[in-house]
This record gives sequence, C-alpha cells and structure tokens, in this order.
Amino acid sequence: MIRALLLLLGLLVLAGIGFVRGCSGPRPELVSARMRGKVAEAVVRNAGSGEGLIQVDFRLRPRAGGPPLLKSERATLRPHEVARVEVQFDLARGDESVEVELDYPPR
Amino acid sequence: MRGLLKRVVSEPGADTAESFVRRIRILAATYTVLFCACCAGEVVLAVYGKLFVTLAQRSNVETLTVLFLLVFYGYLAAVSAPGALGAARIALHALRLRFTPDRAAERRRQLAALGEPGQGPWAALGKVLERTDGEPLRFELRDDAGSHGIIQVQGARVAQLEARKDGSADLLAYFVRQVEDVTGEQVPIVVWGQIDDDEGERYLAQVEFARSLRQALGSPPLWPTVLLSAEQTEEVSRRLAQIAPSLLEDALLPDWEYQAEHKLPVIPEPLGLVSLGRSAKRADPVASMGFAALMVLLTLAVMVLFVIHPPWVPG
Repeated sequence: MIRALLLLLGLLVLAGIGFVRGCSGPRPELVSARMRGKVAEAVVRNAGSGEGLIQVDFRLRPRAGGPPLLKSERATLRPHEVARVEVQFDLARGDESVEVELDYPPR
Repeated sequence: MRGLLKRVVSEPGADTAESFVRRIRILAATYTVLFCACCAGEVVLAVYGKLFVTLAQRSNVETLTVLFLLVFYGYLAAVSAPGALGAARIALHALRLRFTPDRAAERRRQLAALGEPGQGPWAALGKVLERTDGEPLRFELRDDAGSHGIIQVQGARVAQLEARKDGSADLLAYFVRQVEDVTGEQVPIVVWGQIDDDEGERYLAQVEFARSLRQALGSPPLWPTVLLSAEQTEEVSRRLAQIAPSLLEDALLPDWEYQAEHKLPVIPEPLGLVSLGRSAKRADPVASMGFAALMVLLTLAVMVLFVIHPPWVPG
C-alpha cells in the first residue's frame, strides 16, 4: 500500500515536471518600448521555456495631455525568444510616451 | 486491508497510549495546515482571478470551477478554523506549562477554562461487556488537573459522561481496543452515536431485550458477552490513566465525525456501468481532515504552478 502511494507520488512529480517542460505557455517580459515616428515599438522577451500567443497593449500618452491612444497586437512567442512588436498609430505625433502591457493568456 | 483501513481511517489513535497522543498532535497540525492552505488558496484565487478565469475560458474548463474552489476553500477554512484555534491554544498551554512554577495549578486552570462538563459521545458494541463480579463498569479519567469524564459501559452501550467540550469519540475507540487487548476477545464498535443515533438506539434496544429475557429466564447470556475480571478491569483503568493527561489537549480540538465512502468509477458517468466502492462507518477527523488537507494542498500546488508557469492555451 505504502509502495503504491509512493509510486503514485512519484508519477505525480514526473507529470508535474512533464507539464512544466511540455505544456507551459510563454512568460513575456518587456525589454523596452519607444516611439519611432508614428510607429510604437516594444521589444519583448519570452523568459519561459513554453510558447504561445501573447497580447501586447500599447497606450500612447500625449505630452500635452488629453486622452491616450490605444491599440493591441497579438504575437506568438517561441521559447526564450526576443521579439520586436510594432504597431502603427496614424494619429500619433511621435512624441508621446509609450506604455506597454503584456498579457498571457490573451484576454 | 480491513485492519489498515481501521488503523488509518476509523480508529487511528486506538492502539497504544503513544499513538493516542500522536493522533492529537497530528490532528492539531492537520487543522493548522488545512486552515492556512485554505486561506492561501482564497488569496491566490483573489489575486490571480483574471488569470484563472482566462485559463478556464480558453481551456474548455467550466469557469464555475473557480467559484467552486472559492466555496470549497471557504467551507474547509470555516470547518478547520476552530481546530486551528485549538492548535494555537495547545501551543500556548504548552508554553505556559514550560515556564510556570506550579504545573498542576496551571493544568487545573486550563481544565477549568474548558467550561462545565457535559454529555460526551457514545457507541454501541457488537458484544455486551460485563464484570465477572457484577459490579458496574465505570472508569474515571482523572489526572493531576482533575477529572476528564467517566467512561461508562451499560450492556453494549459505551459512553463518555461528564466530558469536556463534547468529549472524544477516539477515546471510546481507544477504550474498546484496550478491552480487546486485555481480554483477547474481539469487541467491534458497530454503531457510532454521533453519526447514526437512531440506528444505535434501535440496536441497543434489541440488546437490552436480550439481557432482560436472560434475567427473566435465568439463563446464560443470550447476547454475545465478554466478561472482565477485576484484574482485567484494573489493567484497562491503568491504560486509560496513561492517556488522561492528553485529554486536555484533545478537548481543545473539534471532533468532526463523518462517515467515509471511497468510490472508484471503472466506467465513469454518464455510463456509470461499473464502480468500486468501500465505506467506513466512521472516519476519524485525522483521516477526513487529513484527506481534505491533502486535496487542498494538491489544488493549491497546481494553482501556484499555473501562476509560475502558465500553461499553453490555444490562440
């Protein structure tokens, strides 16, 4: 009985390790964000060993005040990949401050 | 297998005085772990609620599962809170005893703080217990702190009287196991009063009928009977005295009594053609709360794993 329970516990631990290695999603981290003309650019790093679709939310705040400009983009990250995500804002002046939020899983 | 189930599920602390004391410590630790794990589960669900709702929606798991876990943790936290408080009081009492100059006075004060004694648990035995000299079978549970109640046997009914804080069903299990050990006879507990009192009363009425019939006929015992000699009674008293000091700690922990049922669906619902089952008339709180703690820890570990390593979901 005790041997069976230990075996079950071992299987659970193996399943946990297998899950983490094989079924994990990405762990996106923001490296940098900036404006390049009318294009907002975010460099994102996947700190995890999993892959999957992430959501990048851009929020441009005009220096002179006023409502922010919003746009979202989705991208698939591979394990430990560093990627650049760009979004064009037609109404941007180019001097806005950029705020970026990363979401996994995308909501 | 039956013996193992009895030792683990029904009567885990009944074998020896040491195992009785160990059971109380395990129970105190179990209540504490269960309460803390439930609170941690509630916090994780509240803080990472958006993540779990999103995961549930994107992985074809009912979002209601999140709510179920919230209610599950809340219920078990409410059930285990008195036990966690009791465990804290046990620790506090132990600290006070360590630093007090008069241990007996401190223990008397602690016993008095438990309140007035009242009716304790009872159980029905498969055999009638009697003394060979015809004297009543009563065992007072007393130590330097005072009285922890009385175990009284009337026919097949064994009960704890004048118990502190509703008494302890495991005390009855310990008593019966010691009687078995001393007499060498099997004396099973067939009904637990806290779990099925109607069934117990019906059974005991039949036993009393058999005893009355025996008196009327002047015949040998009609119901299976175990006789205890004066020496055997003395030995049982001595074994009860060994655990009397720990009854103070036992009284601080709630005695949740449940039946237990284990089911293994071989062909699961909705077909449900074959399932294996096993049931126990009583599950000691160590078993029921221990299993609940295990389940809470397991689900909590999975949730923490999901927070640290979010699983892959379809895009």
